[in-house]
Amino acid sequence: MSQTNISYKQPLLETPFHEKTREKCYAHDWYRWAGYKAVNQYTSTELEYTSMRNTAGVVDISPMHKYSVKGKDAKKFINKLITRDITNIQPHQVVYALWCNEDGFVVDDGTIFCFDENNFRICSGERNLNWFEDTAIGFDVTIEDISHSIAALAFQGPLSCKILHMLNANNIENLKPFCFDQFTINNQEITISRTGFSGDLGYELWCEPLQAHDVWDALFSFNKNYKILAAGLDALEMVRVEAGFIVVNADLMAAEHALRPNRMRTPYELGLAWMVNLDKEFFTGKEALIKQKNKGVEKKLIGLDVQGDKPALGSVLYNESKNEAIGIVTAAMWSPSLKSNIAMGYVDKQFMKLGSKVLAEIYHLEELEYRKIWAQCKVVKKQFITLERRNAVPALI
Amino acid sequence: MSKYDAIIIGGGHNGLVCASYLSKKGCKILILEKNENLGGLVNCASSLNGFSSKILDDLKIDLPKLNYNSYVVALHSDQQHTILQENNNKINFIKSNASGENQKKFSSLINKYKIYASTLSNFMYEVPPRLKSGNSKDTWQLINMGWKIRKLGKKNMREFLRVIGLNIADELEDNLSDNNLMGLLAHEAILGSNLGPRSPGSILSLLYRQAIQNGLFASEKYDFHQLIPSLEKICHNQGVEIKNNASVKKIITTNNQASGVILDNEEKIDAGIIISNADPKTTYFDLLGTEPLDTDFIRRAKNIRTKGNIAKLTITLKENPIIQNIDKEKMNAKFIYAPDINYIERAFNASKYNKYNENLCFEFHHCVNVIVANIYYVPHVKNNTHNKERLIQHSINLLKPFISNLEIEKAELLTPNEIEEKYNVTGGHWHHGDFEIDQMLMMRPFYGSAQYTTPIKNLYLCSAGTHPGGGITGINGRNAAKKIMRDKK
Amino acid sequence: MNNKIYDVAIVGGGHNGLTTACYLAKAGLKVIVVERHDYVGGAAVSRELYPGWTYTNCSYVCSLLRPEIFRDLELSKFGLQIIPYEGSATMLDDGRFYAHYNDHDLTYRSIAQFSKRDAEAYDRFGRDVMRQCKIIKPLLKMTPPDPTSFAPKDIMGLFEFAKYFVAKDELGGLGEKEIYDTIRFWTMSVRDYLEEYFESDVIKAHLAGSAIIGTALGPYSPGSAYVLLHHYMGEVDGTIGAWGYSRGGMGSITQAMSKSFQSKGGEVKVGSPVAKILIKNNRSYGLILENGDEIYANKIVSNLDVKRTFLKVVEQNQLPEDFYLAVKNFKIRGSSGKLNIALDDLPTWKSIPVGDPAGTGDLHITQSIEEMEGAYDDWKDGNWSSYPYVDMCVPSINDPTIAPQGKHYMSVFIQYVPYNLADGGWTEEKRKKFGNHVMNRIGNYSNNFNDIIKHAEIRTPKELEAEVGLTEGNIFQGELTMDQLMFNRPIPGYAQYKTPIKNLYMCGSSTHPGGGVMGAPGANAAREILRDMNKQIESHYI
Repeated sequence: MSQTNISYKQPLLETPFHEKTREKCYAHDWYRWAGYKAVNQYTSTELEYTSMRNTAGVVDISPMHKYSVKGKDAKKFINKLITRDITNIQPHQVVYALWCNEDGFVVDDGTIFCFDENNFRICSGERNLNWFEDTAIGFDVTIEDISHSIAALAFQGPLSCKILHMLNANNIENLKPFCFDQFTINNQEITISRTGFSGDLGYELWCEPLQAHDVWDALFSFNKNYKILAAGLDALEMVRVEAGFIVVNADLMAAEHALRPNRMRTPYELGLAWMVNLDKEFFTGKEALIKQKNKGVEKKLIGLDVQGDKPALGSVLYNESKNEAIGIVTAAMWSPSLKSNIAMGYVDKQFMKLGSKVLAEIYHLEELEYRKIWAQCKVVKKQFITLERRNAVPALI
Repeated sequence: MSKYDAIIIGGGHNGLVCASYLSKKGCKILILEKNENLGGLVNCASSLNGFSSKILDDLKIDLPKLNYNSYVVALHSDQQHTILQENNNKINFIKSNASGENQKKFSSLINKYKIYASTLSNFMYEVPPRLKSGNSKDTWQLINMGWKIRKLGKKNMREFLRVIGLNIADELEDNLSDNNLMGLLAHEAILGSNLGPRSPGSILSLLYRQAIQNGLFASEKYDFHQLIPSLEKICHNQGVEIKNNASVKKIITTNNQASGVILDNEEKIDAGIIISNADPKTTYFDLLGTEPLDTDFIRRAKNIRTKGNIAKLTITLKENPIIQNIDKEKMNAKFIYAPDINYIERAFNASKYNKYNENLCFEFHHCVNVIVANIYYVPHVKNNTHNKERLIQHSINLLKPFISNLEIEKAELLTPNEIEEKYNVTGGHWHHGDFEIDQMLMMRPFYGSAQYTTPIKNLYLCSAGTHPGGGITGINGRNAAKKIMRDKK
Repeated sequence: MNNKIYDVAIVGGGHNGLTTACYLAKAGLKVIVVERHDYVGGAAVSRELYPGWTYTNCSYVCSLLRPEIFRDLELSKFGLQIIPYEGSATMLDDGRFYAHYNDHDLTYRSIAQFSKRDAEAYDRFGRDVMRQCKIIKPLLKMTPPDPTSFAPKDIMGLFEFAKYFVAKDELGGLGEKEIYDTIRFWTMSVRDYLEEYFESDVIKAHLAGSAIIGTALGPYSPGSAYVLLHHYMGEVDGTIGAWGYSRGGMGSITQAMSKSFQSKGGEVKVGSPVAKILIKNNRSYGLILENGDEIYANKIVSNLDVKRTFLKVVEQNQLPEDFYLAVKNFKIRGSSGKLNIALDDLPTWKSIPVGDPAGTGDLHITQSIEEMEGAYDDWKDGNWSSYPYVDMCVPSINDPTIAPQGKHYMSVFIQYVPYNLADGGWTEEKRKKFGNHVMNRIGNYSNNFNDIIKHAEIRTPKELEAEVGLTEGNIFQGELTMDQLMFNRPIPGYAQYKTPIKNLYMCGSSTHPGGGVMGAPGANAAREILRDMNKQIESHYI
């Protein structure tokens, strides 16, 4: 009996959409995501990004980790896990949540889908099986890793609802944000949630691997008039920075991954205080977070409006007199939609207040030479882009 | 308003000691004991000589002194048994085939360790300091500890730092050549632990035994049968209420604060402070439940090593036992069968795999016609799949060569699984958790639970699973009481 | 004999002695290395013991060699090249194999076949071990402070130790929790440590192997997790825990060192076994060889292990009594065997497909930690293990220089093999029996192994002692247990490369930080000697 399922010649898995994504990936620009082959850029990141703000973009998010949480204590378990309170969650609701370790440092973030009182699904960016199983000790609940059995797409952009409507997804326009339901598209019954990572009107489609091709094709049915593009992860990165969303292991080190203890962050340091419900009876990290809330944070993740047009990627932030490093940039870009130079990063507490002024030390590579630029930055809210259509009910069709 | 200031779960010796100290300060205490009798593992103990004389003084417990000379007999299969007597920390060889050189070295080794043990005993009566807590009190305590070790003097400090991680077998083989003396000392080092003579850390285990006991061989000076009744009396006099046959089902918490308990019969009792004399695992996983505990905390609690490996054998003979070459006067000795290091190590080998072979080690006392023996290494096995009949037979076979009139009326054996069941101690472990470098001091039982406190406010631990460890010292209970009083201020 | 007086004479041309020699020669000193055999290298030696094949006959993989030493000694200039492993595997009895690869995602899936939980835990385990490696890295370089001394050097040393312990520079500082983790890692058994992460037997067995190599401990013994760290803390090009082959066998390392040494004016005298170190008025001043010749030097450095130094080449009456006793009691028990095998073809395995990178790194056949502990139990009884732990590799797959075209060399390292065999000790017959026992066992996992063996050289601890001079065949020049590490190594109070004899130093693996082909003991000793002579050199390490 020999190994059949893994081979050193094929270190990476392919998502259920792989045949389709490979077909469209003319630029042949791939990278690894959770052990899968994932597309960075299909043709041009600029065009893919534009589609997500102009028509709609389709992103293959199948590599995301998905866990089923079933049992009598499913809700109790989740309430112990996350910092928010889901006591009153209803079936068909989705909640964006963080979970922390005993010191209040973020382990990961993700979305929680409620099917019913005893049946949930958690979707996360990093692997969490061990953390969930250990949190579940003493609870009547079963955790199962179902990542490979669910194919998923993000379908984001102003035309997303219209396309789904034209595909006869029944009453899709009245699906409220952070809700999900069953819909039939191209003869396939799938789950669609009004969730996403772009800060825009958008949906996530969840289906079985065998349905994947039909679902993918469906979304491009009307391309003659409404040009939908397959969008890679570079484009997704752009829209999420504009939306002010955090990415674990990019904007902070996940507690279970951080080699250096001082790279971990609490929700307060991330500017996500609204996600911490200290009134809840108990959740992992509650005591530590109470302490930090009372003490205050030493640094905070904020948005930056950066002078000039050279992105402040990887820049160190300084005070006005340039003699003290007071922060670092974790994500930066020139935003085509806002025509602004935006960034996300950490600043020490003296500079946390909105409107504070800091300097970014940017090294811009100009034809083999680096030009050092001191760019003035203003501390602003992380959420750079706000679009009314994002939460409108009924959604735009 | 609750009737009680504090509830102590478990009427073992540490719980009684804790209650005695707290009630002395005026606290109104309720002790809830699951079994009919108090004492917990004291009822299983081979010796109570580890009980702290400081605590006996503090609580003014006057135990009757025993009048006989206490002997130790190391049994040899050729019936030429070694007989020792320990008096005022001096070892007298009453009878021994070991050379004079060996006897001298034996005594000097013990004396060397005694010096280190007394340094360790300095740390036993304090709440262990935390490393890098940022608290100056902890820093001072650590500096103080370092200073006490430094006071041993250069030579002794060097040797102390060398032996603390060393195994007893190497040390014995370097210094002695008499197999039986080596086996005897190895026995004292490893009894109660999950170590063999060749395991690093076995000397530390010996040092601990010496630190808590008056004399290495645990020869009783007092009538310790009166210990539990004496403690009970003190509690009674100081207004402590004791309920037997009262099993606690759950500890109740409100807003992360301990507020009471629920018994098996659903009766609810409130109190502002709950002290658990159950071992840490039982406390966290059974009594408290994992709901109010952080995930990483639960991981650490799960990882404490708590595998017991001593079985208690009680046999009633038709008449008083006779042992060849041991006269009647010396029959009240402690009898040990641990003939040499390799024998012990082989017995230990099997226990690593949760098995045992027929060649086990043991020690026993006798009283009239009843022999009470501790047999090791008998591992704690999942699902208690011991073949008890076979185990009893093996144990009796071990005694056969020595007791010439071994006619058995009744034989009872408690395996570690049964000790676990009867006394509610995880793994049936004598000390509620292995005593090794990574499970001692500020790491006992583990980070976040090592100063008698728990993550739950006003929930405390006082069992042997805390600092300083097991050995029926009562110090755990005392220290916990001190911590509780300190926190109250 | 000539009247030349050297600045330093080094007894023994093992890799540490050569390292010390190189640094001292770099400082402009007149240095001579005196070596018993006709070749230098100690346990890092490549020899053509069968025509056409180069056997790396003792140590076989390189990882622990400090990159700064590699750089200081310009070893690549003198021909040294390290080829990284591509993977490692444990072959299972049911026909499958368990493998680790350079590709992280592939390794994840490989582990997940056995347990998803373990595949995820492996990342956390790797992170925790990596953290420990970073903490211990600067400690390797230190001369251990004497905790019983109030001398400024030692007080500063203790502070430095504490500073490294909390890894302020490497990791930005550690919290209380991480400090306890470090203490636990240094004192626990590897089995208990692995049980906290993994559930699958084969994964634990695969990872525990590094914890028992060369030790007189089993995986259940407290302190074995430290040995795991000791083996993981090497690096090949910045990847911690990576292992590699030295091109041309481990002898390339010592040959390069020797050449580097000689290029700085150093002198190597081979074929010259030392009979005694000359000492007068408690001061060493030279060596006397077995043939009667004398060599004089202002300082003598011994690369021999501490027992060989003080029980063989130094007279007992020259030493303080308690020091002599402590050396006698120093634990240096051998537990390892080695087979060097010339193969007529590429060995193929029943479970691993040809071409799979897992087959090109180290290979094992132990299925569980219990089996490994059982192997240790056998050794305690004075027998070789019925189910020995083997660490095999075929370096010729990636190294084109050590076997003829199309043919291969296999190195097999075995735990546990006793130095003092029960029932009368080692005989030629028993040695062969042992060798066959191991080869038969390996043959069970291979398609062709038994048929392609052209020659097998079988080494027990006795042969290791006889050839290399490692007392009792202990490959580390002394066991790596708490009582013999750091300021306890080799003897408490003499852990700073100096001895009770003035001008006599030690530089072998008997000193801190211990064994493995590291070069750190040699470099640290050189630093102490240079400091004593008030000499400075430019260096990445010192």
